[in-house]
Amino acid sequence: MNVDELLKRSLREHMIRISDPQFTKTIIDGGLEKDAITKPVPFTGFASLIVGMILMITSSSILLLFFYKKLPTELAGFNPDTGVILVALAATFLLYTLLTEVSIKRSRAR
Amino acid sequence: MINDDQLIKEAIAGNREALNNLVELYKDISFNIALSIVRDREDAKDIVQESFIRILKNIERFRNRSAFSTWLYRIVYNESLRHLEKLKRRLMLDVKEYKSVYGLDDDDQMHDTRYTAVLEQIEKLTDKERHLIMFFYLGEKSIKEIQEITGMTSSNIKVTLHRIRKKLSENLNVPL
Repeated sequence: MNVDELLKRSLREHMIRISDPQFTKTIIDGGLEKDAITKPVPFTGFASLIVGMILMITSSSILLLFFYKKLPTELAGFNPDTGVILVALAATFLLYTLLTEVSIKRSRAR
Repeated sequence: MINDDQLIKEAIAGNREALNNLVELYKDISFNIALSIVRDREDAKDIVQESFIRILKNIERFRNRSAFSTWLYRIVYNESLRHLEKLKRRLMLDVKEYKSVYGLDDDDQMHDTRYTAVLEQIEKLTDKERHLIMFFYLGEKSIKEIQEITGMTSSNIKVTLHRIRKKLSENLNVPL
């Protein structure tokens, strides 16, 4: 017997086997659990409404600034400084609410 | 006998029996590979379980570019190295310790003196050499597949395997 055969036989024939009957079952149960653990939580319901509002505020503000050099709040009668603060506050509030909503959904999914 | 491709197809389709067969087919070799790296039975079992779970969760991404076992062993190898990195330990084992790590009884395999001698020689190899031995002789992987698993170059693998063969041939007194 040469060294190749000796190594192959030694390792193969004396390979340690896992005899725990639960071993394979644990793997398969864990592998099939994937949806509950890793499925991303889509923006649904309230979260999608907030995303929509943020996009609307941001895009309308950008368009108005670009074409009219005015913010939507200015058009509604607020002075420019107050307008910027109001838009920023609204966007921050909406973003905060959105992140809270998403993190709740994710923790529920886990 | 159903081949890997067929098993994988059925596993992707959610066939629990196919998943079961895939795990049964490769769990022991994966376990021995992990054990040769992390040197702890419980840790090796955990690594194999985690690796399989990762594979099963991503099985639909398997593209048949390499053998299923190559994909699995690469994950087991990387997980084992990551685990070692965490523990920062490297044990040099003598035969007595080897028996306890590998869970062998005095009554069984250790009575095979030739096998004991082979194990002793394998223990004297460097980590890299021991990993190569496991992939090449136990996992029956080709040089190209070992390259995919370990990231080593093919010439490095060939040279290392030749060196191991030469060393073991001399120490075990068997022909090359």
